Amino acid sequence: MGYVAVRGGERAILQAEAFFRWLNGKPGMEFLRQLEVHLPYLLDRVMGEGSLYAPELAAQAIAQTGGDLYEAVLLLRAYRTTQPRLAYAEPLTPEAMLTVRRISAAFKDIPGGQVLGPSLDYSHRVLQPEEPPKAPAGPPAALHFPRVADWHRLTGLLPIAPPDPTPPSAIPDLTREPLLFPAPRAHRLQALSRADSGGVLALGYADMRGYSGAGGTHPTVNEVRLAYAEVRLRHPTTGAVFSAGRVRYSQAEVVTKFKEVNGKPGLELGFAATLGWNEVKLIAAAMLDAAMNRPDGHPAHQEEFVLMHTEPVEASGFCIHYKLPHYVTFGSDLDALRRARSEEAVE
Amino acid sequence: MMVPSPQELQDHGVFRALMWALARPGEPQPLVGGLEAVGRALLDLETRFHTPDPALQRAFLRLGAQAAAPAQADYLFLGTLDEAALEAVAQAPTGSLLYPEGGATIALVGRTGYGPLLRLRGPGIHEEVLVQLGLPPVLWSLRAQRVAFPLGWDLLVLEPAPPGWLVRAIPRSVTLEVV
Repeated sequence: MGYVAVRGGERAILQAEAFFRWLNGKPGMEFLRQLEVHLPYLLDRVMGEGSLYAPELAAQAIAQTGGDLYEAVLLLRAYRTTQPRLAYAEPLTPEAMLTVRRISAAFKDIPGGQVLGPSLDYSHRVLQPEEPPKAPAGPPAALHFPRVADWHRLTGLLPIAPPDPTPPSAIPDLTREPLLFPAPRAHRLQALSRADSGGVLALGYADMRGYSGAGGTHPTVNEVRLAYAEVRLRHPTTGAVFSAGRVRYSQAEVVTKFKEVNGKPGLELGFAATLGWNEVKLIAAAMLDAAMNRPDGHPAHQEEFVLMHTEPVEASGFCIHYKLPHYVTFGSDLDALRRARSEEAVE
Repeated sequence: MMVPSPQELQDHGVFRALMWALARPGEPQPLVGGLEAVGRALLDLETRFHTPDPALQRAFLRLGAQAAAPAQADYLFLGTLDEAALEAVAQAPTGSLLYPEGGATIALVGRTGYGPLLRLRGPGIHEEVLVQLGLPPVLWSLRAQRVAFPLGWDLLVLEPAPPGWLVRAIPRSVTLEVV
């Protein structure tokens, strides 16, 4: 690599930063709090991609970077690396979460029913300067809902998933180890969980459209769930399990036809989950999860292509590194070009 | 707003001091505490440590860190360098070419102005640093055998400097010569 250390320019750098801050102003505490209250999906996206659930810090990161989300994610990731690991939470079980939205596109009458929860999915997409009239509050839905996939398991359409006895310390951890291929399933799900929302959507959409001509996956959304999950920890001395707080959590499952289950045709499940509520990313990610091991050459069907190119910090960082001085590499290219041109002129 | 606790602030301060010590090998950096403060800043649930000191061991276990044999430890807190401590240093992991970060960090207590004079050269050092750390020559011959950048271990040498402590680091990137 033709890099060379560039010295000098400190004053210019300080001025550039000061100019940035002067243009964007310093957001006050009240604004940060308002970000948390009124733009939770923005915070969710940054926290999910940053893999750090900390709404106050996410608001600060968004404000400090003037709303440049890749930079905000980078700030959260960097902060995350400075934090000691204190404990492993107990595994989350979707049926035990405080679930506010759980829908299925596979069946209307899923056990527990369709619960729309908080959503703009079924509203008019028009700008509304005035607050629309409020519908009177209906009767509250239940707090907990079973998994739609469990229903398929009961009917034999999906294989039974035995409980995984792996201790938490032995689960492969993408934040501690490099991503190697073929990736362990834990790494794949972790990578999708903190993947760039736009990147996952682009590749997921390419798969949905069947771009390569190899045939799109066209899965069915089996379940989309938005929930508040308790972070349950085991007390280090008493051993009692207690809740350290709630996080916004979302997950999506898609099913594709057909995979052999116990010697009979059955369904294949794609899954994705993340911190925060981010439905479009999860549906695309779950579809990619189901499609990622197909033998054809579609980029969205290759685990390495999908996971490497949807990593937001690496991708944005690599892209913007091209702004840094490449004087030597470019100078050398120009030298070669000039030599070739003068040789051509001689001939 | 999230406000760091006094303990967190201390840990951050110690961590920064260690970072500067490793960035400027041989130059002293002030620390608020000794081996225990260093352990508090470095250890968590996923780190393995070795120490012959039972009180330190109890303190580090409370952080959730795992006690390990010297050959499996990420961090060794050895205090003064007796025979057993030298044996632990000899066994400390040096990492592999694929994973050089597997090399250990070893914290010792030394005494500047005593012992062999060392000449340090390498990244982070302007020309050279001459220093006496009060550590026996056998440690440096052991280092010559075990440390070959990028493999090897990084050394933190602490000494009391009331009311606090000082730390000097000799990372594996340093070329060390006993003068």
